[in-house]
Amino acid sequence: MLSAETFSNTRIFMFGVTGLACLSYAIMALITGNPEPFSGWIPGGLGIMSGVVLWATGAVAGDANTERAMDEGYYADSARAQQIAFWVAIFMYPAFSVPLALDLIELAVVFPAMGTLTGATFLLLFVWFDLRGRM
Amino acid sequence: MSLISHLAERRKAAGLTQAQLAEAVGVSRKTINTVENRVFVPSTVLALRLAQELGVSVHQLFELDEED
Repeated sequence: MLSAETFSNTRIFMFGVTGLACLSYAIMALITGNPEPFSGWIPGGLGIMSGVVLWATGAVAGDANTERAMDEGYYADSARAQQIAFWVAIFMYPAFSVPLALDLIELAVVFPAMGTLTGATFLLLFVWFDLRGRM
Repeated sequence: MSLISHLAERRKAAGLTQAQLAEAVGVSRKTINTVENRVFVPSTVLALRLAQELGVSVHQLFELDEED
């Protein structure tokens, strides 16, 4: 049976990989001006895969270990990451409106970049809070 | 006003590792670590569980930092 620590490590790995894929997608879209710098299925698929992997890990680890890995510390980290990601997502509208108004960037590029940046913000902040809490 | 935690001293006095205490009270080792390092303020329920497990009162584990 897998331990709560293994569940947490798996969650960190999957969230980290998905977050980095989202961040890479946004950065590459903005740099290249291509709304789909690589397949959109990569960040999306990683997100779905994270859900499946975590569900399977939870099933193998058992209820007690899964509950330990999803305790009040987990919910506090998640809530904090969500709060910051919310404001980052809101801030992106005025931030991207300037280059849009100056025709430095296309609307078709901004939407996928904003979407993936929002996801990356939550995922990578959560990973950072979790890793920092272990030290 | 913040919380002063004496959890680490009490845990060590009881001869427990963070992982053992976490297992006993049903949370992750990271949560115990963040409580000890004053990063995370535990819920009343968790504070009571910790006190019960260590055989002390909640006031012996936590106190308010009056200077803040």
